[in-house]
Amino acid sequence: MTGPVVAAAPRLTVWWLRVYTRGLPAELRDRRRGEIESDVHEQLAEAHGRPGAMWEVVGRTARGAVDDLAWRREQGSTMDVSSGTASGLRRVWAAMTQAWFAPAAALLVVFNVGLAVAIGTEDAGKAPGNVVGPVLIVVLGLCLATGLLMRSAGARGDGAAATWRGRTAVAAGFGLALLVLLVVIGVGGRPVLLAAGLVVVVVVAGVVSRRPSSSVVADGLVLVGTLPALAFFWWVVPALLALIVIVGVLGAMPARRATLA
Amino acid sequence: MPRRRPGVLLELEIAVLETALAQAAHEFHGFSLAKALQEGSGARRLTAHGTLYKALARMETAGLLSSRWEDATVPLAEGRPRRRLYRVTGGGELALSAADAVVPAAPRLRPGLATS
Repeated sequence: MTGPVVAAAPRLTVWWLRVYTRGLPAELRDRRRGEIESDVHEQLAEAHGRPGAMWEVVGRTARGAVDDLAWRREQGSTMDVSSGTASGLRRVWAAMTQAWFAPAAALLVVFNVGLAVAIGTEDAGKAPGNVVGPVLIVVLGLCLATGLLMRSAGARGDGAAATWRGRTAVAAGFGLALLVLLVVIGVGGRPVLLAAGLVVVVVVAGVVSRRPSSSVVADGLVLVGTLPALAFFWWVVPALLALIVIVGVLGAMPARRATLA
Repeated sequence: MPRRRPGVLLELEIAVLETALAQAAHEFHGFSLAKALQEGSGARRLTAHGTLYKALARMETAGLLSSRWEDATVPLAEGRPRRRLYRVTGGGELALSAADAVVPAAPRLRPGLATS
């Protein structure tokens, strides 16, 4: 905000204006801010310093807050996301609601982290198993979360997909290196070998694939992330969630390929 | 919130169109409209920012209004922020006529809407 009168405008109005326009395309954001700034200026200028004018402005802001949010939601659903900066929370929300099985996948991420913490803090645990196991499970959880975010970015078809590919390559590379390390030092048994093999296959398939959105990597990372829940199949609920996710990913593959082609 | 039928004007939209068309000036800005709406309806308070500008944006998208930023030299000279100036389109006039034909509106015209 600029100008002496506008600079004195109620801070709550200014703060709120910045909050709900943050992340919008510059043209849309600047227009909304410019209009409200002008309005506030006019109202305060007309009040000629009358006591209470500031609070009247704040009152107008507060009474319109619900409409502001509704307007923001409308813009968010119609704007070209390639020209806007989606917030982290919006990305996470979009990833968690991208498909019918995505909430189950999000629960599996939480399960993986919880399982890692439980194993890592187990009194009867022996080193290095109570360290390597949790790390491996967390890595698989990260794979799952990364896969979900990649699928979401790919489905939106936004410009961030390329960025996601780069970030994911780093994350996948990190996970791969860690798993290979585990295999090499021979700490793990068959489950570790299986997980490492799957990650290797997924990463190689993703590198070979030339699809811009790396859909193979995304789906593969999600599938790999379900392994801990399947390994602990006697805890019925996580295993069922894993099966739901697997069915969902495999079922959506043909449609996604057709869309991305 | 119930979904509105296409082509049906909300009460606020009718008030905006009536208020704007009642003015001698062809163009208006947000605050002048809020003032005119308040005076015309006898309301104690000005229309909220969010309500007003959401309605204006919606009406512009629907083709009922058009808008532009005013020439930058005027606000510079007057030491104030630029105003976004609106005007009612032909589509807006037609929509208001159609709305009045369905439900004859009580006199709601109000004076005092100006861009300066």
